[in-house]
Amino acid sequence: MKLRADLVLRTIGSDHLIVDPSQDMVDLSTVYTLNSSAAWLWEQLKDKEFDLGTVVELLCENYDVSGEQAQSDAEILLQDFEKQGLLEK
Amino acid sequence: MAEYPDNSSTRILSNAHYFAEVQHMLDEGKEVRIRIKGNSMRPFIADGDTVLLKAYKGEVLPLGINVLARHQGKYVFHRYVGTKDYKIILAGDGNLVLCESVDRIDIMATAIQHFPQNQSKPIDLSRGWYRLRGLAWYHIRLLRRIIAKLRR
Repeated sequence: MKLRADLVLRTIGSDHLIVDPSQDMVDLSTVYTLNSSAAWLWEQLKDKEFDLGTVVELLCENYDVSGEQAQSDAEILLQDFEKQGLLEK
Repeated sequence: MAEYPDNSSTRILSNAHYFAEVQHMLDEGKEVRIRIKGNSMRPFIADGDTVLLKAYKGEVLPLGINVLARHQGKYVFHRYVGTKDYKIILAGDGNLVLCESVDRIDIMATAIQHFPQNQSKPIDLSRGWYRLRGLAWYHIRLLRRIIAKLRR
């Protein structure tokens, strides 16, 4: 899977927003925001082909969490990305 | 890293940061669609409806147009109802008394379309009829206040 290339992560103050600035009309009526760690993951996964294993590996390498916890959190995050239409089809 | 992703990756966005992004997109020449919160523009625009904005660049403002403006550190989406001295007077359609007085430079954008939640077709807000209807509604505030008092 891949993150949608037309989406951009914008950080304003402590907020991280996913916006689609590629069109002449930008829809900010529904804004998707990430916490800082999810935003960090977004930056790592940008422009790359990845799968659940990639996310679990990133979490395990950079955070003090068990493999089980990382697996469960990565699943939730990717499900969320998919539900919000942030992944390429 | 201090923060680990929790089970929910969504969080509440501050108004200031949200409107900074709206301003950024307007500055880039984009039209921006935002969701209206609150009832200050009722009966014409309801809580949850969305509107399409375009940047205001100092052109002559048509009376009765809906604008997004900075006011006392906050953001308002109200109707332009007149001028007083060098100030622009804004009023929410749903408000019976309150008006905001802002400088021209505080106007960020004008509204061009309204997308009601219960209607698939957008409304062209720049059309004379919609501006006049809103202005007429503003000018009968006294009557609306009396009716509101009688209803209590």
